Amino acid sequence: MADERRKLMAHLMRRVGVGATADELDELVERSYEEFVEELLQAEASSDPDRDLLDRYLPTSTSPEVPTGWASRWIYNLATGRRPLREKMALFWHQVFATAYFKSSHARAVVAQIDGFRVNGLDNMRQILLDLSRDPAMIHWLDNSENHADAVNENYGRELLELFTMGIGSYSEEDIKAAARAFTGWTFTQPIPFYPYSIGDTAFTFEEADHDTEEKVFLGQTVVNGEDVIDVIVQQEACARFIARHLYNFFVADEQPVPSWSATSPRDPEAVDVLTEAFVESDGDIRSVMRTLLNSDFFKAARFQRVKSPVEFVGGAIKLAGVTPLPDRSVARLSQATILMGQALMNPPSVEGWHTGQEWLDSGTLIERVNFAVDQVTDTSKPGIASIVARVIAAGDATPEELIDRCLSLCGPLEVSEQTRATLVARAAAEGPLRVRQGAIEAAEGRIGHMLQLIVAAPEYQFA
Amino acid sequence: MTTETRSAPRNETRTGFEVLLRAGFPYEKTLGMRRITWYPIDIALGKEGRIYCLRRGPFEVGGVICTINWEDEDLGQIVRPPRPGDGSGLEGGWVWPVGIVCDADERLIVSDESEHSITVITREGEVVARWGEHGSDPGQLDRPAQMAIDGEGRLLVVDTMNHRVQRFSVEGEYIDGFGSHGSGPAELDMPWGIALDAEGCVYIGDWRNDRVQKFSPSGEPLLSVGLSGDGEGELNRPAGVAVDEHGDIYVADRGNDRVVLFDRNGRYVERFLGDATISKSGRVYLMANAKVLRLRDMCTLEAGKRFRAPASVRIDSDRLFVADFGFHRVQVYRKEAYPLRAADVMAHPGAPNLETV
Repeated sequence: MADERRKLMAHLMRRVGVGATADELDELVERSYEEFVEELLQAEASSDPDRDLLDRYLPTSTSPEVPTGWASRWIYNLATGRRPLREKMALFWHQVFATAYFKSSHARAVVAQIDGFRVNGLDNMRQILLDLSRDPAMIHWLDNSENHADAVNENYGRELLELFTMGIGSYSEEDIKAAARAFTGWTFTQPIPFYPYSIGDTAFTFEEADHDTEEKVFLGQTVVNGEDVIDVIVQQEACARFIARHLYNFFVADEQPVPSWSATSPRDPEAVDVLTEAFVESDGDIRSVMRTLLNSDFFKAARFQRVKSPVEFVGGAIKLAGVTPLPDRSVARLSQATILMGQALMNPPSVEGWHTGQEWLDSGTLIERVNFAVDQVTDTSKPGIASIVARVIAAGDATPEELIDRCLSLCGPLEVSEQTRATLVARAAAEGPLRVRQGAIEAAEGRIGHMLQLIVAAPEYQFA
Repeated sequence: MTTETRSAPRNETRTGFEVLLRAGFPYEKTLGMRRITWYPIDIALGKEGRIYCLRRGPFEVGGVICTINWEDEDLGQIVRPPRPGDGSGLEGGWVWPVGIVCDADERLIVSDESEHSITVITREGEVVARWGEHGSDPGQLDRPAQMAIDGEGRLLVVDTMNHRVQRFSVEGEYIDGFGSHGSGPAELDMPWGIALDAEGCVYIGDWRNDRVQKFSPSGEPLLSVGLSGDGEGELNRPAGVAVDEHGDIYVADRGNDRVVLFDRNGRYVERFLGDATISKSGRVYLMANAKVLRLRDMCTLEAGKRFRAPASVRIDSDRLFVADFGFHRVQVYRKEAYPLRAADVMAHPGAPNLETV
């Protein structure tokens, strides 16, 4: 029972964050699951107290001109922060409302968008969409600054419906045109250009003279402006179902890629029904939907049903190895690691975001993942690895089976197939039982470190 | 660069004055631009008007020294890129360079807070020495930050994670040090900046305590200025610190995007928010770029004058140089002040007075 409880808490932490250390799980198993979920949901959005350390030691990320340094900070925060769900919700909305730096080259605007998701990520869908529609990075990304009363640009109106809220099949071309007209005049202030010094900040501005003030018919209702359009969208069951499926895909189990959703049924239609209902009943309150999701049986049963995204993988690996409170130069390389694995934060390949699930894995990215994780656990002096080694040794001499089970338990706990376990046990058995007597400690540490390398290279470690 | 002082000497001594008549502290000039003085984290003022800007970035590791002059000419760069797996030998590159000072021979001394090292190079970039051992014993370093050179040519290094200041020869021989971790009087918490006055007193930017502390040359605490916050006289993670001939204390109040001035007694005097104009190099760039000219005409420019995360302040006679980190430039202010003798001013009344005429 206690073992199951530990596995459940570990599962929760993999989904609301990037995992938990064995020490953290020791504390969490003593707590009520539901109360802890509520604590995660109610956590304030304010920045972590150690933000000043990142400002000091990654100073260019404080005044970002490219997203990589700030992305490294974000991954570091995912692994170390005290409000993991806030960071994870920001990552979720970044995946859904995928906005890239490469078009604008304005890192401050893109970073500001992510900061907005940290604040509003659990709010009502209306607020989230309103903030999104007023976000300069999004306005530029989907050309709403080019959307004028006398020259309508439909890009934002189209993607708002197709990729952000409802999906193909839930609206007509006329609805797209009406939505686009409603958002005319929603633009941003001109920031100071990059040269000769640095980019300035920008903010939403409404150009009334450039706004189409006529009434429009949108999804059968009369609207005038963008706020009206958002109100109508959030009332749609299609919106509730679309967001529910996104949340299921991100937090519960891998779905098909988003572009195929109009032609494929959800992996678990009943689960999506439950989330849809929570959305409708709460009038689009994302915190309520997440409460339903995290407390549901389908969530609790979905252990290791998702391929970790590169950000989750890197964040989880550095958390396992142990992150020191003082950022060192390795932090600066975190975003580069995820880029090599196929996920450049704040630079998604397109407005569709990243294709997730099995599509994260190919022969190249898998090698990058394995190498990264093995590198992390190789140094047994790292605090997380040292802690695992100490725990294994403290439990005394071990048969090869016991050695593997102890290591698996402390790496997650990670649940592996019988075949994987047998392979690991066979490798451990080649060196006989683990002896932790005085004089044999150093050899034991080396063996445990080697086992950890094999474990993080196992197929099951790719899953959350 | 001319270095003559404008402070009219109404008094024979600059430190023995009773009151400082503060006539003004106007903004004077902006130097550098993006890609030249990119992310300046510290400045060293050399001979013949040479200004050495230590760049941290533009990426998350690496650094460059860029030399400019008062005419804003780009005099070249010294580049020492980090190399994977390099040791602590003379070939080691900079990973997280953070502090730079010039010695009397205009050798440049650079601290690296990732490598716990100090590099001494000629101004042509030839490495003279590289030293520093990671640790907490006397003479060892844990994230060295800014440095200063005293009147005897000794190097004082802020040893951030050991929460102390250590004195070395420029070649790295340990002499002595002081400081301990904490938030109480005389204690330090991750200090960053350092400056020395004419008497050899040491001013430390006590970063995580949001204050500046003044110590005697032997490390006795003398003064503490600043409280946490963003109000008058308050500081938010101060970085560099400087002191001028009048004992005025300048603080790069990095978290508040400003520079704060305290007098020699620790009284708050004023703040500098940034007044940048277009530097000469910036004008040359702008005049050749039609798109940027147009876009600048479409935006409000006030925010572009302000400091963004200033990291360092340095004094050269009556000039204040500010490393405007986030805007990739150096802003210069010039002080106009007149030291007055006790005989020139009323005796201190001991209390504020509404009868001011």
